[in-house]
Formats: sequence, structure tokens, C-alpha cells
Amino acid sequence: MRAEMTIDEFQKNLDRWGSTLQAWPEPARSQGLLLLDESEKARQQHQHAQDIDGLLAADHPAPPGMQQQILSQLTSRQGSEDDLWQRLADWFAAPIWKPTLAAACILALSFTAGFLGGSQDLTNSDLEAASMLAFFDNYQEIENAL
Amino acid sequence: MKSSAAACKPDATPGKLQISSRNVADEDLIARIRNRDQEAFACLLKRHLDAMHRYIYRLTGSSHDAEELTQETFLRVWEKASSFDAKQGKASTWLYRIAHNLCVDEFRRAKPDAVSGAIDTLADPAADQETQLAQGQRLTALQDALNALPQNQRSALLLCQVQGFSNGDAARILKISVSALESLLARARRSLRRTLSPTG
Repeated sequence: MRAEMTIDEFQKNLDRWGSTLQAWPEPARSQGLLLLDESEKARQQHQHAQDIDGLLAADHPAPPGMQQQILSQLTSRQGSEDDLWQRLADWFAAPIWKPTLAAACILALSFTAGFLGGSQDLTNSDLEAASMLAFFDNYQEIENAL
Repeated sequence: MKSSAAACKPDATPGKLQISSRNVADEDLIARIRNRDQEAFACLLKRHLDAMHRYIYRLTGSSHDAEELTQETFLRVWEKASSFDAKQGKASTWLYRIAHNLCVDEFRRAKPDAVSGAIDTLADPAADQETQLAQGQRLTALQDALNALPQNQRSALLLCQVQGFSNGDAARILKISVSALESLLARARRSLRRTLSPTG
């Protein structure tokens, strides 16, 4: 059986899927394998693609000591971004905030009580009269209205 | 990813669960890192350090940048472990997305010498001097050709061809569609082939 794939198509497929023909989808894979058997040009193209892949895969290990260097930095990076909310919560939960918060609550309650206490002199009828004064022009009108 | 199945050396810390099995998934390690488990972090680091360093080195073309960015990548993993969501993808995908983003930031800072670094010592030390020289020259030519590629083509090629990610995972790392990734791959391979052609 002869390959129906052309050399140009084979090259395009090498560019598209790489030099490992086993990873090509069917029917390109079987066509590609057939062409490799038949064509010297296809074999050259394939060899060139494999050479590039081999170069790309060449080792470039991390320098010795890098692992330890990273591990030694963990402590200094322990409490950053992710821990922000946790640290904020911890900060508010610190012992100094408890008496401060209690004092602030007492102050707020005192202020509210003082404000409400000062306005206790005004009764509902006082408020009604004040509203009517604002609405009508003179006392006569008020008397007529009542 | 190719290296995710690598085993970690046992680290006998009393009172802690030892990570001695190759069956401990990256995702489980990250769950432990979230709880500030340094042993789990050391295991993840050991598994991925060399591959990550190679990826960043090939991407930046600079040993200095590769060292700095590799370190920063793993330190971000330590800091941001709680933001990893296994439903969104594999741990290795998340790890390389952190690395990729850091590299892109570095490219944006536009250091002109970052992509013109020479190859240091990549040749196989076991080979004889002449072979080493030839291999070194080929690797230099390869890195030059890689450096000449647009950054997204380079990333796509390295993730799929070198790091062994599937097209789908690489597309997730680069935040592009699979078809866009395949297009980048084809263009990258075509450019490299033409640049490195034996006939010139």
C-alpha cells in the first residue's frame, strides 16, 4: 500500500504535531509511517525535526544548592498576601484591643444615652405644636384648625 | 506532566506524615503546603525544580533570570497555595501558570539582555571535547533561534515539546484556546526548522 500523504503534507504535520508520529491522530499517523518507509526526503525531514526536539529536551538542571536556597527563604515569605486576612484578624484579636474595644463600647453607649436623655424634655404634643407652627402662618389659623 | 510522578526522598520528621511515596499527588502536596507543611513543599520542589528551571531558562535565555524566576515561582507556590483550586486544573498546570506569568512580567520589563544570554554549559559532560563543542554550538544556535521566536510561540513549544504538557493543559497555562495553541506550535516549529536547517 502506498502513502497518499505528500511530502509537503508530511512536513506540515511535523510542524503541527511534532516528530513523534505515534502521537499524531489517525489517519495522519499511518499515512506518515507509510511515507517514512517510502521516501528518503520524508526521513530527512523527520530526522531534522527529531534533532530539534532532542536539542530542546537537553538537560539544564537547576544549580546545586538552589533547593536549599529556596527552602531557606520560606520563613521570610511565610506571612504574605494569602495570610493578609488571617493576620488582620489576629491583629484585631490581640490582647490590647479587648480593653480598647470595651472602652469604645462604653463611650458609644454613654454618648447615645446622653443624646437621647437630652431630648426627653420634648413630648409628643410639643412636637405636634412645633409642626403646626411651621405649617400655619399665625395662631388664629391654628385655633380655627383645632 | 512528565516529572510529576517522581518520588521524593523520605524525610523522617517526627510527628509528621512522611512523604516517601511516588503515589502522593501534587494536588495532595499543595493541600499540605496550604497548612504550611514544609516537608510537602520540599517534596514538590524536588519533583519540579529541574524541569521548571529548564523551562524558564529556555524561555528567558538567561541563567541569571532563570535562577531568580525559578526561585520566585516556588516561593509564590508557598504563598499562594490556598488559591489553588483542583477543580480548575492540575497542580502542574497551576505551577507553570505562575511561572509563565512571572516570565511575561519579566519580558514586559523589557530587559534587552534577558534574551541574548549565551548558553553556559549545556553540553553532555560525558562526551569528548570535540563532541561537546559541536553540541554546545548546536545548543547555542537553538537558543538563539528560540530567542528569535515571539514569546507566546516559545512558551507553547516549550510547554508541549519539552515539559510534556498536553495541548489542552498548555492552552490552559497560556489562557488561550487549543486551536490557538496548535497554531502557535506549528509556527514555532516551522520557524525553528527553517532557522536550524542543515542547508542554512
